[in-house]
Amino acid sequence: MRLYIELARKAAQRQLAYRQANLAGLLTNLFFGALRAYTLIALYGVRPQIAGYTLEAAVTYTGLTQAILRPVQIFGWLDLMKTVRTGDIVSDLTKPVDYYLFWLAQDLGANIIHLIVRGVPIMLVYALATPVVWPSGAGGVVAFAISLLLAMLASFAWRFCVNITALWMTDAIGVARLGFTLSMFFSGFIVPVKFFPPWLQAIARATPFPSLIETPVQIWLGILSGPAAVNAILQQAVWLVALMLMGRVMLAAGTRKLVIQGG
Amino acid sequence: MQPYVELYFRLIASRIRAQMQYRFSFVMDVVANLFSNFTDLAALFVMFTQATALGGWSLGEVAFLYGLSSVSFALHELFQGAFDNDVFATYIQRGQFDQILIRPLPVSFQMFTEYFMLRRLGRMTQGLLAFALGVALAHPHWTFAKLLYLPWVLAGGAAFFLAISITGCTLCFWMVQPTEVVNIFTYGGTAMLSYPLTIYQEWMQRFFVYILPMAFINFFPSLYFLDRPDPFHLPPFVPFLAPVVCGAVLMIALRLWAFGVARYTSTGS
Repeated sequence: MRLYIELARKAAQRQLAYRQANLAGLLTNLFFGALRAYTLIALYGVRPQIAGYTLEAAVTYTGLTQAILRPVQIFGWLDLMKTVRTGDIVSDLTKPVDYYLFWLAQDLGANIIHLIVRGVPIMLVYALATPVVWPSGAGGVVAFAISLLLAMLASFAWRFCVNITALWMTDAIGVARLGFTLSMFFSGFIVPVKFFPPWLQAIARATPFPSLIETPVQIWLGILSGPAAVNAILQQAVWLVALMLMGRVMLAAGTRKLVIQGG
Repeated sequence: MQPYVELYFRLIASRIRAQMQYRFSFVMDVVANLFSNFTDLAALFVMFTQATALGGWSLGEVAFLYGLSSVSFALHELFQGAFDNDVFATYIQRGQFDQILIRPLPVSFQMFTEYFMLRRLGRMTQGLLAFALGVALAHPHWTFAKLLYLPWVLAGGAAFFLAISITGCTLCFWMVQPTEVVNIFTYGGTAMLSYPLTIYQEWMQRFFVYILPMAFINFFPSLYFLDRPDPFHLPPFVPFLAPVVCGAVLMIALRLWAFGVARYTSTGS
């Protein structure tokens, strides 16, 4: 366990070292947040609410999604896939650590930094610029924290599955882009899932992706609270376990093949 | 001039052939590219299931705006070559730009022919689709003049986006990774232009009309194509300035680039 904490700490330090990039990223996130907020404000016009979101909640939604997009890595991530291409995966696999946790620890470490240097400032700027909906009470805060952590882990589990396909395909980037596009859309990052027409909502709810964005956001906004929030968090946990199992199985199958190839 | 034209097509053809070598991954890439841009369009439709207008513009009209800027952006992406901040930043870091400098061909010519990413046809397809939907839903009153003007608008928009990318590359001479800042104007720019300019705050509108006049990429021309009144009450010839304004912006960017190239000192590694 100490080893994995150390790996996470190192990844966090590395991420923190990119000061200029972190600042530039923050500005980009804020700019897009503003664009999305104005689009929704125009959409609302004079209407007080759409699909259960008040205008204030919708504006908060744009800020919150921008704040957690990096911690959850909703645009996707190809770092692991790249090591397959460069061959670095061989040395990573021979390290005396669990390969899955090796990546998970580093991912979590870097993403916690994203949460601090991007997530928190974005919400602070939003709070200064516009009325924002905050989680209600200690219960709301705790539920959000748990839900966000599960979202970050589930996102990793999904990204791991996508990246590990590179063990079978020489150039899996196309597949990966397709996978990440799907997850981004159905997570409710671009538009809240609740805005979708019913048939599209049904498709989204059959996937693990709302667990990545929609669930923590709705818990923050109080759209999900009490037993409904607990239920949603349990669903996230179930998806997390399923995706992790899938990743583990794929890893096991893939490395068996890799050993034969490399033998 | 003519040898350059010939050489251009030769080089581009070879870049395309190279990409076709891995057929499956190429197809997947185009599909992914198409699909990833598709989600923006899907989001637009989803939003319009909740309302009939956005800032006074109908779904068709917004799709028209969106289509115009997407096609321009896609054209720019297709022809930008190595004038891509991500690509160029690594060129500088690895000293590959030095190779370009010592070859006996004009630098910007080589930059344009270094890359030709065919997978970006995905965005083009999606932009054309959005545009077609916009036309079908908003049915603008087409005149011969409008049809004649359309290609100039698209080329102008592409020139403007190209100017931004070139400026981003120029910044690479002084900065290690300007990518994210430049992204605000490229990807952020298309995202912003996808919706009517008037929905944004006043200072943003002013900035994009008078300072960095991206409103000429699609907003002002759309007012003409869709016969909409000008919310800024500018003279009626303003929509027709688009190609001039965009061309001028590209000229300025190329000047800056030349200045940067002249000042460039290699990383030395």
